[in-house]
Amino acid sequence: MTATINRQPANPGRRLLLAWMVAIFVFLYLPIIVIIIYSFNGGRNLYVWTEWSTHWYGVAIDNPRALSALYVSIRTALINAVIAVAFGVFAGIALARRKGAWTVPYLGLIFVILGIPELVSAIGQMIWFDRLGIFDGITRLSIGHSLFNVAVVALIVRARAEGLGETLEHAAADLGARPWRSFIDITLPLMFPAVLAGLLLSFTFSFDDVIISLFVQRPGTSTFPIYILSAMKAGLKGDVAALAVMMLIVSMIGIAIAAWLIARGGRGRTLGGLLG
Amino acid sequence: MAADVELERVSKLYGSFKAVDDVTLAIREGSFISLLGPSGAGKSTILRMIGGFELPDYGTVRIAGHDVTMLAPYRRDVNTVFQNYALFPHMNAAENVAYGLRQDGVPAAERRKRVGDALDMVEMLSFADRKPSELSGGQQQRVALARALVKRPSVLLLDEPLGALDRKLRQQMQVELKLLQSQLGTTFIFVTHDQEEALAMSDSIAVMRHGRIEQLGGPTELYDNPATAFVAGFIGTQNFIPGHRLGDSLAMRSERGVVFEASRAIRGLKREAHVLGAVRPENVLLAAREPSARNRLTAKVAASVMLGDTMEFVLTLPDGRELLSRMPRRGVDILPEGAEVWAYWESESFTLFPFEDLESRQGKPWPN
Amino acid sequence: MAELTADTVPIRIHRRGMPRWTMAWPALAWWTVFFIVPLLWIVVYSFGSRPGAEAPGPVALETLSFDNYRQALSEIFFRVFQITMRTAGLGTILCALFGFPVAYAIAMHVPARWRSILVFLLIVPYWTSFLLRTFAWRIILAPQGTLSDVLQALGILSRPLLILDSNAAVQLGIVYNYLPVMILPIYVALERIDTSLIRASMDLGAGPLRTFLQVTLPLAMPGLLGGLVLTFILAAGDYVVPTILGGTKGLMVGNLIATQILASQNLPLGSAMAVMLIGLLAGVLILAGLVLFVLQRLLKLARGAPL
Repeated sequence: MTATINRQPANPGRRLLLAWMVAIFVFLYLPIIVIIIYSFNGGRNLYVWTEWSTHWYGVAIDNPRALSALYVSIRTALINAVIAVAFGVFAGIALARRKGAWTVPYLGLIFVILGIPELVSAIGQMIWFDRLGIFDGITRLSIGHSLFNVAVVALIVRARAEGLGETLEHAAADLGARPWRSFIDITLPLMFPAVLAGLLLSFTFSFDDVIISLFVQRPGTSTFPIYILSAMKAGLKGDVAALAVMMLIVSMIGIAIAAWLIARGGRGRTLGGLLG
Repeated sequence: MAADVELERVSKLYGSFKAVDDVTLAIREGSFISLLGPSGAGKSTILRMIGGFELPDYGTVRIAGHDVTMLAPYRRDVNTVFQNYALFPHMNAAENVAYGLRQDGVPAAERRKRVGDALDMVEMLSFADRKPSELSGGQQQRVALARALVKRPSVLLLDEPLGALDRKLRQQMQVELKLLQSQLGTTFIFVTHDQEEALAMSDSIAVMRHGRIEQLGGPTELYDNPATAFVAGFIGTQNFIPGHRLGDSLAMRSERGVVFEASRAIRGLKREAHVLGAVRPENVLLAAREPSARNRLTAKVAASVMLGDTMEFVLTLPDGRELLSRMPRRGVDILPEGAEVWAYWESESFTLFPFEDLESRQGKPWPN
Repeated sequence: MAELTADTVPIRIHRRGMPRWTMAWPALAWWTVFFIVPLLWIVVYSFGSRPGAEAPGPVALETLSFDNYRQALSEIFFRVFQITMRTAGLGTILCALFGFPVAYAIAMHVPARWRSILVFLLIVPYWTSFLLRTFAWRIILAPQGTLSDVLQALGILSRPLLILDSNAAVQLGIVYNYLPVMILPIYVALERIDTSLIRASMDLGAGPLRTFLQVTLPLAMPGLLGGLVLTFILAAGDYVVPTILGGTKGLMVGNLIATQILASQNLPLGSAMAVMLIGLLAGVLILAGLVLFVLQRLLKLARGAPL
């Protein structure tokens, strides 16, 4: 004889909750899907759907101003990412390994940097760079973008270093490794996923940045998002949407890899802590 | 190869908490000593001060006669097997073992040979290419041991290294560690909270509590002649009976007015002192009829517990307190619950300790 | 426990070497020069005045005054401040209402292996181009767009959708953009709750609703409050959303400041407004801290009297 099947009691509350969750996810992704679809809109007016076409992608790639803005963006993002990692990795390791009275105010500063309206930070940098008057456009942009990203890298590296604990470095010292050797042999290799994630995130955040760029840029060194913003203000055409989608895909890939690296290194929790 | 380790009046404070409180300890070269105690007793802190990971606030640490108190870990002729092995996850087993030799600049050929020998010694040679994540807990444990021993340290520190292994594997490793130690002649300092483990492996055991060494001695001595009620209760199991000493005799009167005779009282015990009388369950015998022994009580069987080769009886005394009795299974029947019996023990197995409050411990004192 | 006697000499000397936090210095130096100093300059500029037509530079600092603050509090600007607070405040509340069930669903009603994927899906849009996602709403909400056509065809609207370039569109953009900022901290707090606590509460006879109100919600409070503060701060300082979706009717402080600086060349007034914005946000933060403190006290009191 077969055992009786016990039907799980229906739980309408739970269903409703999950349906709501799905709806919110759809809401979050709706604009992204829409812009991707409309970038293939062949019509002259972007807003009015006419036909499928890759026409605007061809136009976008032929636009020298867009390409030069793209070039500025990539150079800025790269320099910024190198700065962010160079400073952020050491700060992050110190935060995890050399705790002391300094840690709390230091973290406080990091949260101010991450939480302050970007606009305010951007205005301050514009004033300061103009007063100094010694940096060219790319340098101004790279420094401007790096401030936020140094803090991001420091937090990612700190999370990983805390997650790993200090025992491995102790083990290295126990086996006769001098502090610098243990740093090179043990600490840095173990930090690698966090460093790579930090590099990618810094690159993407810089690549997507609008506000800092808007204020600190100099004539001739507009970044790609600034170009898109001004093109939008002038009236949107399909080629801008096509550029936007290409940009979106680059940053999505970067973010996806970075998030995967961070999640692999620690628990999903670290991701939440980095937001904002 | 082996070396003496000496701690002289060593203290370590965390804020106002004394993790280690004025400890003096001399460890003879080539011996196997265990630091045994409940968590927070300071045993790991002592190990970490010998290893160089913590600096003592007071006192001196000497290894082979040299003052190493303030020396960095990498300058000490001491290696550690860490609690969770601390194998480098990005190196395979052989690279892990080779790491220490690399730091000493041992030539490649000799290094390969010694790494091979060390892995062979712990029977891990065939796993040399595996990453730690591809090894089981017991295998990681062996690699960690090889990594520490390949440097031929004069002192090996082991920080609860068997804690993460299951019971069977733990017992096997206990035997292997003991054999290894007697072969190598290296001084082993072993931290554990498991009294059976300490009894099985050590030449001597330092029982620790509240940052101090409560008693230092061989396994037999600690088991048979514990210096305090805490040690008596921590090593093995005890039945404690609170009461007062009768004058300066070797007898006590329990709070219910029953008189018990002991053969031994801790030195310095005052007249009429508040005492704990202690008897081990294996010395508590049961009889159906009133026995002739001086120390006897009537009791009711509350439960019979099968422990494999022995039976344990949980007895309830008329006043509601519990008494444990343990005896070999042969010839003993499971007594039915509620059976009335006599429990008795000889005065030779009864000791009087100064009273102390032993909450939350094996061999609970009787509630007052 | 024996006292340490006088003859034991304390050795509180540390090993020689670099100060413990040397590794954190380069970043600190970087931030000091390029973050803290610029912020101080904003404060200085906010007391300056617009230079005369022939004077060089963007600001005159010979005479410092509160004129800019007075001007910033004038009626027009004050209204924009008000609108900003309203938009950010309402946006924050809507984010919490929409977001809490989502965080709750992910933390409590989704199998564990799905959780990190969903969190990942939540973060990816937030971290990728803010500009483009906001801009996409222009396509969706366009009067000649598909949504507008559909709504008209269904008879819900009698004329094209006219929501763009208004405060309503800004409100939508704010909720859309900052929803992940609200959901994640709440999720983190909820996920940390030991589910056995909830089972224990049920076991002790509390129904689902009481369990939620008395166990789950109090434990999620720090996350919720964190989400509220973060969302409000980011929303109140936003510039991109009102610029793209608000047109001239959906102004927020961010636009106002940017306009003063980029278009009107009035750096001192823009700086004063920026300082006021920061002051306001700091006030909100302190208030939130106080609320949390009081809540914790109240909770302790409530727990302290179980009988």
